[in-house]
Formats: sequence, structure tokens, C-alpha cells
Amino acid sequence: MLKIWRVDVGKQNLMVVDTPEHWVNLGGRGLSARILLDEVPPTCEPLGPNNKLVFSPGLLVGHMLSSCDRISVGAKSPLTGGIKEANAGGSTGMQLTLLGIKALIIEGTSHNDTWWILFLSKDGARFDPADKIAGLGVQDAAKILLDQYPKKAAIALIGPGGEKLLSASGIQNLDKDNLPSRIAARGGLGAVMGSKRIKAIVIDAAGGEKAPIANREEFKAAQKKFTQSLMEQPQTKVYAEYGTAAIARMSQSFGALPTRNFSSGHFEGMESISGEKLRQTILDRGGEGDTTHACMAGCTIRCSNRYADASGSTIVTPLEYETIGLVGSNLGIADLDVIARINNELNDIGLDSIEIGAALGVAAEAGIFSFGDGDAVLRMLDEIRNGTPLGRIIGNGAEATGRIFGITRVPVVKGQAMSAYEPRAIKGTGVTYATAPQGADHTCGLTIRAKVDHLDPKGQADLSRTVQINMAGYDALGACIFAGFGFAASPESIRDLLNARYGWDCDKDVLQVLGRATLKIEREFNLRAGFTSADDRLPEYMMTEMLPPTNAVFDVPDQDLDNLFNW
Amino acid sequence: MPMVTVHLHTIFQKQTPKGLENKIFVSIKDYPTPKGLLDSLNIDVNNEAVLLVVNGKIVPPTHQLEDGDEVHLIPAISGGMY
Repeated sequence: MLKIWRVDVGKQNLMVVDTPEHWVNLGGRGLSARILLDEVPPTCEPLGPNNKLVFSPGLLVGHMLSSCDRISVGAKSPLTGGIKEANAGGSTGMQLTLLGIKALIIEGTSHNDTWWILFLSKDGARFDPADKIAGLGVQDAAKILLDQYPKKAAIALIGPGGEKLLSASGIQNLDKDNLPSRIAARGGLGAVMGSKRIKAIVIDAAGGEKAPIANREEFKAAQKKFTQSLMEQPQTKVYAEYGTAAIARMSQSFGALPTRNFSSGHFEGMESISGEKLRQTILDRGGEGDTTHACMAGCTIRCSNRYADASGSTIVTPLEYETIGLVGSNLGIADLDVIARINNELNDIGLDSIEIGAALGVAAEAGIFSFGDGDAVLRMLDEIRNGTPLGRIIGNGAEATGRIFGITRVPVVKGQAMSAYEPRAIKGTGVTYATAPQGADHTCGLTIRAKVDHLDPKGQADLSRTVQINMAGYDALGACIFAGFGFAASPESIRDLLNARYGWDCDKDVLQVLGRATLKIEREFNLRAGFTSADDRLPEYMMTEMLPPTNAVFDVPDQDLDNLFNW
Repeated sequence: MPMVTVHLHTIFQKQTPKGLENKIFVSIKDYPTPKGLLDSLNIDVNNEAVLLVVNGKIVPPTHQLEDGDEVHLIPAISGGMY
């Protein structure tokens, strides 16, 4: 049975213990939430000794199940002050599971200013000095680590953003090709890792064993059924060819593409940054560019990409919709090359492109630079990397930037920036932004593809509830959000996979059971941290200022928001 | 002649008679509702995975089109619905 690995950074020791009974049936975001509620005082300082950083693979991780090897990372968030989970693809989840780890809990506080590499292997945990990589961007740091440690090891590391304890910093993970490009981005988890003085975690599963499967034949049959279902979904083909960037035109068709600090839902330069343009550019340029790429071994969707410049040299891997929305249209930038360069810098500093894109939009509204000026954005990122006062302001997110520059149009909930769906035009997603315990978050329950009138406030809370529960369920499994297309068409495969893997006897509604349990724990943590219904609201201006071109305001009644979790 | 603009998204761009096109213009006389157009492009709008959007709103295939309408045919991507 998988174990709990508990690392104390002050004592620099490891305790390996059996998984407590009430944690056994949990995984991913659900397990992370449970551990945080059980062990972290909700009112603690997020960057202090009482916060803990949890790495928790989902329940289905470790078996090369397509799109189901994600790692959840959790802590109390320095950005929101509430509970946080961010998940990522790559190899971290798989390697932790192969090493027999149900959850890795990093706790305590370091007693000096030295940076460390936490090396995990079948021999236990070891703290190696990180002198050679401290201060480096994640790309150079990862190269050095890959030379120093076994090639097959997974690496989770922070960049200068995490080292500077910035609230917009995340934790980068290697993809299957050993590129540090899969970031658990949201909520400032990089800063929590930085507060523990851990620059990198290297996980070497050599000599480890695959997680046990209670009934191999049944698991194999369920896996086959799920994979078939996934491959039959038309979305799988769209994602393979166009990636998430395809959502740009879709959002614009609803008047929901965030533009110039969320002041419009229509961007006149959209066609230049669309998924269709992205694909054609990659194909025309050739070289190292690739329109389809898997971030996790065994993924059949392959929604990722590699974007190359005119000479065919890679600028960034991958270029995704949320970044295109927040760094492109939201900053008035209609050039994919510029967006890709900004994205690569963000990746290297180890920052959340959504949070920084939103913060820069607020900064542009404050007149710090002009919308559309990509060179100015790159200079701002240098300021963040160098830790200048302006860089630290932007690096602490949109809310901090708005407060310091006196801007009230700040697209955040619970201190976290909205993703690239305007909530006035997609009101169900607005409900999710408002009520999700994580703050405004692109992974907590998008509703844009529902066949509803997105401008009608009626029924949006019910829609958001359904999606939030299911998303929390997928996050407990370690499933990518896009695996949901396959699971939706074959919901019994979730039950069958879990029963075969663990020898359980769960029902077809297990996804919802896991999702509700997760949300309940997260809500409880936030309640104890001092959150109230006032925290479950969109910014005031979105309820009064009309959004072009739909001229919509967010008008879902407060009562609907307050009753969302009364199921 | 009353016309509508039909925006084709991602894989649907390959389903026009001329091959890859991101938008086409059709007359309301030929297609008073989207249904016939969808049939001619071999797109099944009853599929949960297909969105038919006119002037920013989801509509049924029998929706009456008007001069100047902006029609979007979208494979319903974005995670999160289920």
C-alpha cells in the first residue's frame, strides 16, 4: 500500500508512515484538501512554519492511463489566504507513485538561508545543497539537475519567482521530454515551496514498483473501454490538431474573450492569435515546431504543442489558450510570436501566466505601460526576475497591483485572477469564479460549452454546481480536464477503474461523491480561515459596468451564489 | 440579397466545398435556417459536441436567420461541462 512521506525541512529528516485510514480513499486534490484541513491551522501565515506543502498524485495515477497521471499540489495560498490546489501534468505524479508515495508532505521551516534540493529515492530523502541552481531560471536549473541526477527522475522546481516568495509563482514540473514546462501555477504555491527553502525536488523511482492493482483483468478491460471512449470523442481530435488555443475564437463568438483588462469581450486582433492561426503558423514554419505533443507519457489526446519562430527554433512549449487570453487579448497584443516570448519568460521565472497577465492588464490601465506594447511587457518581466519594487508589485498579482496603483477594475475573486472567460458573458463560469473555494480558477468548473443562454442569469448556479462537483472529482482522480470527455461518454469506466485498482465496491456516482467530499473540505478550511459569503462575489464593477459587445452585467442573484453548496 | 456570415471553427473549416475556409457567406434564400447548411456541411448539430451560435447565443438548428447574422459552428471544446 502507498505510504505517506513526511519531510521536515528544519530537521532535514523523513518519516514514512502508513496512510491513515480516513485518507486511504482519497487522492489528488481531495487528499491534499483533507491533509491541509487535518494538519494546517487555517489562520496560519501561508509563508510561515505552520503551512505545509502537499504533493498528492490522483487515485488513478501510475498506470499509463491516458491523461490520468496528474499531480496535485496543495497548501494554504499566499495569494488567496484560503485553501489551494493546483495540478499539473508531466512526470512528477507518476514517479511519486512508482516510489510508493501516496502523498509527500513538506513541513516545518528552514533555520538558515541556504537553498536545498530535496532528493527522493528508494533509499529515502536526502538534502543536497542547491548553490549551483539558486537564482537560476527553471530552464537552466533543470539542465543542471538533469546532468547531476538520474535521467529518468522527475523534477518539481521553482524559479526566481518562487525564490522571491511572489504570490504569482508556481511550481514547474518536467514533461515527458524532460522540459520544465508543466506548471502547477495558481495561488502562489511556488512561494510556499520557496518559504521552505526548497529550490527543487528530484524524484528518482528507480527500483520502485508499480502501484498494486487489485484486479488486473478488470482494470485492463476498463482501461480499454475508457481509451476507446476518449478516442471516439470529436473534442479529442480538435485538441490534438489545435490545442486549447482553439478556444479563442469560441470565446469571442460569445463576446467573452477578455480584452484590455477585461474591458471588452471582443478583441479586434483575435484572428491573429487564434488556434487556427497558431496551427497554421507552426505548420508553415516547420523546424522544431509541433502542433501536437503529449505532456504525460501515454496521453492519447496530445493537446500540447511546441511553438517555433520563423527560423524553426522553439520559442515556447506549450502555448495555451489561457496565456493567449490573458497575455494576448487582455494586454491588447495580437502577435503570437510576442505572446510566445512572454510565455517563455513567465515559464522560466516560474510564474502563473494568468495571474501575471491580469496584473499587467491592471498595470496598463494604470498607465504603467501601453496596451499592445509587448516590449514593455518583457521589460516588466525583467523587473520581476530582478526583484525591483515594480516587479515585486506585479509579481504579487492583480489584486496587489490594483491596490498599489489605485485601480478598482481588478478581475479577481478571493484575490486570484480570473482566467480567459469573461464572467459577464459566460455567467455560469462567473458563478464558478465567485464561489469556488480556490478563487477564480480555470480548472474549477467552466461552463462555456453548455448549451444554454450564457447571458441569462437563471439556472447558472445549478450548472456551475454540477460542473464544480465533477471537476473536483476529476482532480481527485488525477485526470486531466480533457479526459472528462471520455469519462462523460463512459461514466461507468470511472467506477470500474477504481474498483479494479483498489478492490473497492463503489457506485457509478463515485465521481460526484469524490467531488462533493473535496468541496466540502475546502469550504470548511476557508470558513475556519475567516471567509464569508462576501468572499463569494465577483468584483463590484462587473455588476454595474456593461461589457461590450453584449452589454451584459453579472446579475446572478446573491442568493443563488449563497445556496450553491446547499446540495 | 440577404446574407449571413458563417464562421467555421477548427476542424469544421475543412468541411466546405472549397476546402479550408474559416468563414463562408450564404444567402438566406438558400438557407432560411441553419439546418440545411449544417446538412450540406455534414455537421450533426444534435451531437452534444457541436455548438450552433448566432449573434452570440446558442440557438436550435431551426432558428430563423436574418440578414447580417453572424453564425458560428463550433466543435464544443473547453473542458468542464461534465
